[in-house]
Amino acid sequence: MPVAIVGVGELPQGQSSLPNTMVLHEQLARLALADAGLALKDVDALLTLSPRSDAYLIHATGLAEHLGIRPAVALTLEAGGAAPAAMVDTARGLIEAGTATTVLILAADMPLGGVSRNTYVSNLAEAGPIHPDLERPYGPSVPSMFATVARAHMDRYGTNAEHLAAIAMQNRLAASRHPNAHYREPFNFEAYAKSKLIADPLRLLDCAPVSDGGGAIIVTSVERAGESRKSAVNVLGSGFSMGHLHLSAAPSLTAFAAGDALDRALKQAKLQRSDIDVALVYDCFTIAMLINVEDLGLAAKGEAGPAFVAGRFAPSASGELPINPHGGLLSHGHPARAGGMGNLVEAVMQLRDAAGDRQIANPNVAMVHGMGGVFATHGVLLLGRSS
Amino acid sequence: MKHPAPRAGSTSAPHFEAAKQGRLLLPHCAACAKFHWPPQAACPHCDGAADWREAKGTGTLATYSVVYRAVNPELKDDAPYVIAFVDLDEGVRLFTNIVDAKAADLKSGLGVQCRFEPSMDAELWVPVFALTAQA
Repeated sequence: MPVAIVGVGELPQGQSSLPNTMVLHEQLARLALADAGLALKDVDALLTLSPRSDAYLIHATGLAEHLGIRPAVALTLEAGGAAPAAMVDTARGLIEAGTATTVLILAADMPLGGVSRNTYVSNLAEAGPIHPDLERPYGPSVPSMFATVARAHMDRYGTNAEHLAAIAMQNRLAASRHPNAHYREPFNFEAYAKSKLIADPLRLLDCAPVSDGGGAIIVTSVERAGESRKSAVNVLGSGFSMGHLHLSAAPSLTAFAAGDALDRALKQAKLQRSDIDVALVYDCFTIAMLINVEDLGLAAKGEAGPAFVAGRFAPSASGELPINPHGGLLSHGHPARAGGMGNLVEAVMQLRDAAGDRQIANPNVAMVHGMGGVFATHGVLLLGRSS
Repeated sequence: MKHPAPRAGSTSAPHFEAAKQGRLLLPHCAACAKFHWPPQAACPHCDGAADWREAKGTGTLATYSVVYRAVNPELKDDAPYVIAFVDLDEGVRLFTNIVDAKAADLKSGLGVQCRFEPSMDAELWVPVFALTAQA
C-alpha cells in the first residue's frame, strides 16, 4: 500500500519566541494538520525525535499527553540526521501493516531557547558523535571532527577554501529566498575568508548555525491521500546505510556510505540517479555537503568542489541538478536533533510547486538525504509528484 | 593539556591503563597476527579472539585540525590545540593530540612518535603524539 505526504508544517528557523519545545511541537503539529485538512483526533500514530532541549522517558508519549490525544502508536526514533527518512519509512510500515492510518511526524528542537547555547554545544560534544573513551579525552569539538575529514579530502583531492566557500555562498543565496530561513544575508568570498577559524581548516561560515526549529509532516495511504486538501507527495522509495558511529571506526576519512542508501532507495523506487530533479543533501558543514554529493554519486570523487564553483548544483535555471533550494542546514537552519527535517519539508514544497521565489521548474522526483553523526549513518527518501 | 578521562571499565580501559606504564597497547589477534582499532567484539579481519599487544609507537600524521574553540570547559585555556588521526606502523589509525607543535609546522604525512600524558583519572593515561623530529 503506497503512502503519501499530505501535510507539512514549518515555522521560521532561528531564535524562537515560543516558551518551550513542547509548544513548538504543538504549533508545528497544528500547522501540518491544517495543511492536510485534518484534526488532532485523526492522528493514530505519532513519531518524534527526542529533543536535546527537552528530555522525556518517551518523548512521543509525552507529546501525545501534552496534545491531549491517545494515538495507537507513539514512538520516539533515534537515527541522528537520518531520522526524518527513518520516520517516513516507519510510517510506511505502520500504514502498510494496517497498524495506523494517519501518521503525524514531528522533528523539532530548541537549542537556543530550551537551554543555553553553550550548554547545547557542550552536550553535543559529550553525548553527540564523539566517542566517550577514544575521542573525548583529546578535546575534539564536532566542527574539528569534520575538519579532520576536510583536511584529508584537501590532501587527497586538492579541495580548497574556494570550493567550500562556493557551497556556503550557494546555500546562503538560496536561503535569501526562503522566509523561514535562519540566515538570509548573502556574503562573498572575502567575507567567508574573514570569518573566524573554528577548527582549522573550517571557518564559522563552514558551519551550520544552531537554530530553534524543525518541522512536521502527515503521512497517510495514497488511497486516502486522494481526499486531502493539497496535492499529495508520494513516497517512491527509501534506503539506509551506515559505516560507523564514531569517526575513529571509519574505514576511510574521505569517502563514506551515503551512496549505498541512495542505491537502495533507487532500487526500491525503480529509478535512476538521472531521474532526480532536485536534491536535498545533508550539509551540517560545507565539507559534509561536498563529500555527501560525491558519495551519493552526484559528482565523481574530488569533483564536487569544482562543480559547486561552476554552479552545476545551483538551485536556479542554470543549475544542472539543483541542490538545497531552501539553503540547507547551513543557512535554512540546523535545529539540533531535528537537523534535516527542513530537507524533507522543502522536498514536499518543491514537488507541490509551492516553493514561491525558490521554486525549481517542474520537479517530478526529489531526493532527500539525511546523515547522522560524522558521516556515520545515512537515510534517503525518493519522493514524487502525485500524478 | 588536561585530558578529560576515558571511562574506567570500558572496553578500551587496558589501552589507557597501559599508557600510564608508558606502553602503547593495541588490540591484536593471535589467529591472524594483525592489529586492529578501535577495540571491538572480535578481530575485524578474521573474527578471531582479540588480545592486547604493545605497538612501537611510531607512525605518520594522517590528518589534523587546530581547535580554536574548545568545547569542554576544562580545555578552554588549552586552546588552540591540535587533534589528529595518526596512521601507526602497525596499520591502524588512532585519534589523538599532536603536542608541542606549532600549527605552521604540521603537514599530513609527517612522522610522529608516541608519548603519554595523564588524564583527569590518575589511573588512566592517554597516548599523544609529537612530530618525530621533536620527539
